[in-house]
Amino acid sequence: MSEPLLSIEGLEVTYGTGRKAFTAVRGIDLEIGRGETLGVVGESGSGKSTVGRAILGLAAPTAGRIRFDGQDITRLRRSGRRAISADLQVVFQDPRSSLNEAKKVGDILIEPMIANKRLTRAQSIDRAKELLVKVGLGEQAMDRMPGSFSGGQRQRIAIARALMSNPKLVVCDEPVSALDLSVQAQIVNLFRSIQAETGVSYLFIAHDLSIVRLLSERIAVMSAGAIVEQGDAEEVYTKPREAYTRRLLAAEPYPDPAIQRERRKAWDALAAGAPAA
Amino acid sequence: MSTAVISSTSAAAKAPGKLRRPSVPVILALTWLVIAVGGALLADVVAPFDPLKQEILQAMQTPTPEHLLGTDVLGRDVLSRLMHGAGPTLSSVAVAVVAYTGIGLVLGLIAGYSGGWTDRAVVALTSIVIALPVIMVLFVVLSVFRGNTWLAMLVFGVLSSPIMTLLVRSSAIAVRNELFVDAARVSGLSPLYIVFRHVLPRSRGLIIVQGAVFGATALIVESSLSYLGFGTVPPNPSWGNMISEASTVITSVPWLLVPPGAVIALTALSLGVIGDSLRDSVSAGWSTSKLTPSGRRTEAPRVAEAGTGPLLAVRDLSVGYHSAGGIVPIVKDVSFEIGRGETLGLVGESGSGKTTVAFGVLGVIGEGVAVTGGSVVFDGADLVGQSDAVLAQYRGKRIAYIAQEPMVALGPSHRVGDQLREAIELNDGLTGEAAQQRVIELLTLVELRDPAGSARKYLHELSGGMAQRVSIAFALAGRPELLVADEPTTALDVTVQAGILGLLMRLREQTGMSVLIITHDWGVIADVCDRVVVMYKGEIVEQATAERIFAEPQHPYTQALLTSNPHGAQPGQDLPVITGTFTTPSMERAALAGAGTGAAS
Amino acid sequence: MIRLIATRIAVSIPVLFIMTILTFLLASLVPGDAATQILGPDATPERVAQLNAELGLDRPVLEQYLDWLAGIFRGDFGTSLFSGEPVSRLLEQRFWPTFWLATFAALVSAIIGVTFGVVAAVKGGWAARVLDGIGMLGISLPNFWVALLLIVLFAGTLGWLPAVGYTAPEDDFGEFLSRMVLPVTAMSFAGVALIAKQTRESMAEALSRDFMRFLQANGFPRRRLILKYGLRYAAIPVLATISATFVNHIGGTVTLESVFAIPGLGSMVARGTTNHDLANIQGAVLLFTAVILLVNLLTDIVYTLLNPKVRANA
Ligand SMILES: Nc1ncnc2c1ncn2[C@@H]1O[C@H](COP(=O)(O)OP(=O)(O)OP(=O)(O)O)[C@@H](O)[C@H]1O
Ligand SMILES: Nc1ncnc2c1ncn2[C@@H]1O[C@H](COP(=O)(O)OP(=O)(O)OP(=O)(O)O)[C@@H](O)[C@H]1O
Ligand SMILES: [Mg+2]
Ligand SMILES: [Mg+2]
Repeated sequence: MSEPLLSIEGLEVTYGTGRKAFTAVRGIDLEIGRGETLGVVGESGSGKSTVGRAILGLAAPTAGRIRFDGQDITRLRRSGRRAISADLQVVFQDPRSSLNEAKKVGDILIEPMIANKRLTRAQSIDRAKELLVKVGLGEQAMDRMPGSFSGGQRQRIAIARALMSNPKLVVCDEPVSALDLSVQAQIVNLFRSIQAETGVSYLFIAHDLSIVRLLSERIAVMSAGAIVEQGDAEEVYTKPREAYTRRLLAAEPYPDPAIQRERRKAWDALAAGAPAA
Repeated sequence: MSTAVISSTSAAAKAPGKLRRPSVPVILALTWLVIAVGGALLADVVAPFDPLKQEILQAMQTPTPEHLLGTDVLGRDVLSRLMHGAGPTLSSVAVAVVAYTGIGLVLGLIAGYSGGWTDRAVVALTSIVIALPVIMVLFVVLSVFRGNTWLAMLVFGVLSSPIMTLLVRSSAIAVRNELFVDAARVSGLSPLYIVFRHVLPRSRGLIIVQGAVFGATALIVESSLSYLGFGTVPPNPSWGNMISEASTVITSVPWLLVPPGAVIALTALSLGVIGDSLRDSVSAGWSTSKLTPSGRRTEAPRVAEAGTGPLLAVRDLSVGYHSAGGIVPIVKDVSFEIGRGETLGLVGESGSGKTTVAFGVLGVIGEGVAVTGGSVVFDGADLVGQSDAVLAQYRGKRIAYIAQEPMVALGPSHRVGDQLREAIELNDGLTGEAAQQRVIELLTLVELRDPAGSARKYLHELSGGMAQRVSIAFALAGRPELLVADEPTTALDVTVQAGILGLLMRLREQTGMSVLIITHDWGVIADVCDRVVVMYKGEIVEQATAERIFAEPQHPYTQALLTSNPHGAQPGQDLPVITGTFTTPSMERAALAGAGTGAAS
Repeated sequence: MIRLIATRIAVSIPVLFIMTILTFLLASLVPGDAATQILGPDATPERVAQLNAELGLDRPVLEQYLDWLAGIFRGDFGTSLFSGEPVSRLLEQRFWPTFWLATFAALVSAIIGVTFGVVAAVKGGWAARVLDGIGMLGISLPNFWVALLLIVLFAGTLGWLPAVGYTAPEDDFGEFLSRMVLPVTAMSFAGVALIAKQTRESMAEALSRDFMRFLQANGFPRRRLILKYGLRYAAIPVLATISATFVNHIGGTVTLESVFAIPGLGSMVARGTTNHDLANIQGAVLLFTAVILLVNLLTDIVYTLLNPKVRANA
């Protein structure tokens, strides 16, 4: 019972071979408990998405082990993937390309259920309607095309698709980065209420510490393909141990001119030591 | 004989556009194809004469009521010969098209979707086949298998198929890289299912387009072959050999050239028209030009009180885009000022019209968009609608611009240093060695680590942060008084953002320039702005100093926007969110006006 | 860059070999036909067999092939079955008319096509629509038909230009030019259409790039943006189309040289095909293939020079 839902040990992913080989992440150790959210932050290119894609089977690990729900899924074949696909789902960053523009929202939601014979057509339609209501879009969204929805609404559709099979873990790869502040807040709230209701776990990737902090119990900070700091969310946010995390925190501008002036001074002091980008 | 491919990078990846109602040319084209194919199929029944029956006495007639298209050298009815000739011609074209699309489709989808070794093998094969001189191979084939046009056209289809293969492949790759395909894989859907249900539908438009255009090409090739005497053997008719027969008497009866040539041309044209109309619906309309055409106003702007007053005064600026139903407003009656040395922030959610305001100020609204009212007075001169000649004294020299996406802001095919040098020559009047020196000076000013090295690089060799520094150097080349920065750091990491904003603040101190900065990040506002303008649905709902807007936001929209900020939020609790709509000044005015008229009546 | 050229050459060699094998194998599928052709259908079987032996056509295919291949390396392409002349000499004589025709046509197509395309992209609206119409026509009209119409009009009715025939430039340059006008026009028709269309699409795409707006806002004049940055951006696909047009023109010479009675490689292929003169076809086809491969190689080199991304990687 005490085994975590997901555990990763020594994960390494290398893209390409030969001269072009590039190791995107190495030596990654992570754990996510049931009903828990692990936040992953880091700069662009630090390998956050690669970790998520390795879990989902979209990038092939070159070393290490990934265990999910008591099963080794490091190098699962397609039939094995299919078996766990109900429990492991994904929400991507780009609300434009994550939905097939040529299909109705309803079809997008029920397609995997029917193709994998998980539910009958009628059952999956009912489930899809229920979820569309839950994510705040309403049943009538079933018959519309994704193109007629805004970015935030599309992200809700993507969330509904991920929830169709009642997954145990959802990998959220920067699900709110492309959205407006106001919409971002709504989606964050949606993630939270779904978790409270279903007990799902999240691997929540973002580049923005202030957002990750709101949802996560624990946070992992990544830099250049490795995890540099991992720990309790509030602790990482308020008392970062690593210089890198401190830099990341200091760089986020604070929405108050007086406070920001102080932070700016602190940043300038930090930056004076480090080279410019 | 040509193998037509118009490569359109934009067409490959786009979603299938909704099929619009067919246009008149398309209807005409379809009608003609139906007539041509129908005539070929029913030639035995509907043709008025036996295509081989000679009536020497009636030879070489121009059209008569009896022989609608006249008669040929041997007195045979041209119309009947055209109908009977259609069969062999069209069927061998069909053979070529089927081979072309079939092979292209299968190989393209397999290579594009599976990638890796399969892909490399297919690409290697196609690159060899594509280098074969196809037409020459046809002649070799025909010299051995005489008169076997079907075989020749089959060979033509097969050898041309690499073009289709590569097109389908790149479209499949584009789709494969879309996240919805990843999502389908995560859901455990099989590759075959994904190819047929997700990839193929997205490539369908492209396939039809290319198939139709290839059909036209194959038709021309087939008729060339039979013109040269390698196709259907006389006396049996084919469109090509009818032209060949006609060519022997062009001096006496040129008319005989017309019917077969016109029939070939019409058929090829119809295929082309259908392909083209589909292409347009696939590529979902033309990309609009980002170059703004020259304005019509030629009288020099009236310079009132230059040197005094605010540096920039925008008054009631309205911008709209042209659509079928007239001009749709994007920005309505926007007014604000920027003082000398002041930094003004423009905030609002996505789509509120911030960028459009910036383009209006810069006079680079692009094609299809128009300033519908108001003025942009820079140092006393109204710039709206001015000609290129007038604007040339402002753009780059007194008003400069930095874009949101540094990686697409500069030209990709010239070294960044060369472009920067060009900007210096244009805007600062320096030339030669002095200009080159200034390039290094500017790149040093924007704190690039290796200015000389960076100048020699191309855009794609720079990181996002470096590219944004180069574009700042660009904007500074003309020593501008006003810098318009449209979300200069949104695409960058926070750490890089902090560096760029710091740089902007230092430059502002050094040069005393004014800055208009667009952002949706309240943190950025707090970091750099003196004053703030809040936009909502194309209108300004509130303006105030930065201190005030955070302390006492007046408009409900501003308040809502501020509270949805994650910084102040408590972990474990829901974030306050904006819901519903807010009233804008124009709505208030309308309501007031409505109340006014209501009271009066 | 060097690597790219090496790859190109590595592809070219198998292509050349495939062509030799293809032409030879296909030819060997119908043995003896050549002799029958030469002697006519009434010849006795003995006489046919004798001629076959004389021509070396009774030996195993592989042996014939290797002999022929070895000959090519020595510059010996065999002898024409019909005229008895060495094929290499025929190739030499007939190369130039074809070369001039294809080159002039490519030049004309490129100059007119690019100009049209740029104007249509910049002006948009009706200019683009007219161009679309012309473009459709250009690829729909068979070039030999256009050629015949041109002959009827300019040589027949108006009598401005000679109808058919060829004069070498060194013999009489004025005559050479006047005889080139009609074939080059007929040939350029489709080329202009294709190149104009590609230029328009690429140029329209170039103009829709964000950097156009960035540079314009920072003081770059419109004209310079179109002619320098736009053309440069559009150059690669346009160049590919020009090169493809040249290759198409080479195919087109077969029909057009027959129409205009130009003694070039194209009409040699057409006649060879009719006469079953395989040595001639093999020689001409091989030469054509080599020229096409060379053009592709040149295109690739220019392409690499134009494209900083490829250059950086190579
Ligand atoms: N398919 C691939 N082939 C080769 N390299 C890749 C591939 N995908 C990612 N990379 C490289 O791996 C590194 C990590 O990429 P990854 O997408 O995981 O970063 P990230 O932290 O998610 O960045 P971002 O915040 O920009 O999404 C980057 O340097 C990237 O260029
Ligand atoms: N050429 C155009 N044709 C049609 N609509 C346009 C055009 N240009 C802009 N729009 C629309 O005008 C609105 C305002 O666009 P604008 O780019 O100014 O917004 P923005 O505030 O800069 O948004 P963002 O924060 O996303 O950059 C949007 O709804 C956009 O779709
Ligand atoms: Mg990522
Ligand atoms: Mg914008």
